[in-house]
Amino acid sequence: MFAAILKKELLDQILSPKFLIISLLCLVLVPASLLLNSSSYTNAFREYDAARKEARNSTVIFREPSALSAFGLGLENIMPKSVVFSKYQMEARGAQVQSEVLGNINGKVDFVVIVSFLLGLFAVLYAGTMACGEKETGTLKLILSNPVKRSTVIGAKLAGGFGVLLIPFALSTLIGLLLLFVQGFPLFDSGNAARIAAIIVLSVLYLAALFSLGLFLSTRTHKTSIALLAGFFAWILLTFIIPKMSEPIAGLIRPIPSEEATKANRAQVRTQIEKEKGKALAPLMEKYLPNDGRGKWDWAAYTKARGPVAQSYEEQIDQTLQKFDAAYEQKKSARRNLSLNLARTSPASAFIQATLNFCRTGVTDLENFSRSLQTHGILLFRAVFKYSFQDSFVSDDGKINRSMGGDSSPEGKIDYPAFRFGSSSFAETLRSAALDLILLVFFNLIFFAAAYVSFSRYDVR
Amino acid sequence: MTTPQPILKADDLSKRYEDGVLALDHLNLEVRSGEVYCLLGANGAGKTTTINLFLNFIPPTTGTCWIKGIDVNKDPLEAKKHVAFVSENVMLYGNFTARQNLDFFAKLGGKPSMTKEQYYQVMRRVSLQEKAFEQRVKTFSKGMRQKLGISIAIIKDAAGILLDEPTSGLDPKAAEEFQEILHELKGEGKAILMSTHDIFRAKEIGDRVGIMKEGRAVMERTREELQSEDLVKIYIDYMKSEPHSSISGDPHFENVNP
Repeated sequence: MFAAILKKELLDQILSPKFLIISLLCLVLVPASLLLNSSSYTNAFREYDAARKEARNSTVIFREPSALSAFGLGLENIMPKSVVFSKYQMEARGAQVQSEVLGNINGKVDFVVIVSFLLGLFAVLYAGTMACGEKETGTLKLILSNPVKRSTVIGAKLAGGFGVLLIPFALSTLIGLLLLFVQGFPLFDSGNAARIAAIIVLSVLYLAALFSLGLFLSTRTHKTSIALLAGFFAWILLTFIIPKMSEPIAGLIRPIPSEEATKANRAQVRTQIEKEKGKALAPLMEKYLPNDGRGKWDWAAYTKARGPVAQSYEEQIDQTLQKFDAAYEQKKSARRNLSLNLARTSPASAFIQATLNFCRTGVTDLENFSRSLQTHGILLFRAVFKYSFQDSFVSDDGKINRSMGGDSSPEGKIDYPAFRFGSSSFAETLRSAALDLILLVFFNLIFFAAAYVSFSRYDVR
Repeated sequence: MTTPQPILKADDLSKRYEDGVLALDHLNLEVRSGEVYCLLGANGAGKTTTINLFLNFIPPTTGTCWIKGIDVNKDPLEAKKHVAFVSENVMLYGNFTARQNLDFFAKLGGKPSMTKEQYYQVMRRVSLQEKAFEQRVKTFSKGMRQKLGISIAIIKDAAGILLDEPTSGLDPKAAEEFQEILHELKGEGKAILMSTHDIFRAKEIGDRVGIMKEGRAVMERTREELQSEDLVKIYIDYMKSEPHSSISGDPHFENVNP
């Protein structure tokens, strides 16, 4: 019985015009997006490679673009292309504002977006007519007038309908991969093949969840027009409203000061300690670097004498700013996690978050990159910046009258630390995507169970 | 000589929907092998509800439907092996050919290994044009679809056949052809329960005719009785009469005049 209904579903769906439309769209969009985005990646890699070779052993680091951004751009464009370090701060270049995480996740046209939006919509609408459509034509009554279990019917509908939906997906993905291979895209480098396989598996899981949701909606309505409307609304809710609303809601629950206000606070904290340092260094400046033309400057003596006095203040600045940055980062991270977790109530968001992690353009890699920058900043401070100084002379009324900068580094070549960007391994990515993976399986089970229960009570009259 | 066991039997069957509407009120009827029973009545009289109860699409509030001695509510899958169904408006699968539709429903009906020629034979039997056998059903007229629908019922070769207003909307020629097929099926010993609005068709086809009103069976006549009575007049009189002016709660259907 199952085989007969499965065969019928496969044939019926393949012969329908909607299959042709979906196939054509997939065959055009999926390979085209892969080719375009791989070309963007190649250009970005060339730029990165040239800049990196040019700026070796400096205080500028460059981030290698992710090859798998060809599949999902995600946060690729909001992660900086390069970062310039100075003593107490770093300046990101070539990046957009980091707080727009979800906006950037949802904004670009790539494989992940095509699957989550376009194929997701197709999945809901495709399945949305499967039960009520047959009720409208009367064939459901005819089927159930035979000795067939309802569970067999709904199971065969899921398998057959979803199987047909997978045909254009699989075909277009295969063509896209072949084109990438021909173009010389590093499909098999750095574990890319395993990651691409994971992306495909996640796509199948996500589409199956939305298909089951469509099937459920189909068993809750008696007209295809209403089912399509309900499916469309569900799709808007899951792919737009929930992901887009999660960030503002998280902002309301966990408010944090803006980047600008934080920068100003940070500068204030630093200036305060700098002033104290200036006060402590004032006698030395007066002694070795007189500013009234009475004596000659003894720069070497000043550099030597300031060391023990300035050291404690500089360590205090370093530690205070590190704490300040860590506290702000923690608040930002807590809000980001809250918004991402709220968004996870939608399978679309769970799919996007997991898939982008496999593309190395997700939140995990953004956080890894931030951590790598902080570590590199500390290493640079120890190796390079601790020798440079900027002392300010502060008068009794607290005003900075003079600033003197210099370098107290020992003679010889400075050993610049190498920047190590801890790009996640496959196992790490799998761990970070585990929750989303479990959620997608859960959505599948819950939607299909709902469809099953609803169909078992479906009024077929 | 003992009376054969009825193939289709409604035993004190009632159905009250969730909104409180009593769609069927203590119906008793039996259809034996080789017999055509026509259920006549206006819209909402309970004809389709009766068929839906036989097909286990809805559970009865009280009473039991029996198909070949099997309680439909207790063992619906076993019961459905012995009944075929033709609905009022058979749409079928438009993208499939007539043969593909027949093949699918034959498999569901427990006939997994029919040959193409066997399908053709059944379609010839219902006078479907040869050229239509391999045509997509979406190009079919309603009459052609009804013929294919009865082919599906024939190929199942079930002891009972339920027909829900099968001639509704058919042109006279198609309705006539349909009637001939029913005669043949009756001759093969099928027990046929048909709901219809068509008084003339009911009189011509039915071995027994039951009139339903507001969920109740209000009258039953045999073919012999109808030779001397005007079914149209009886029907109209019943339709005009006050609600519940007469009933047949009795399993043997009393012939109560309005």
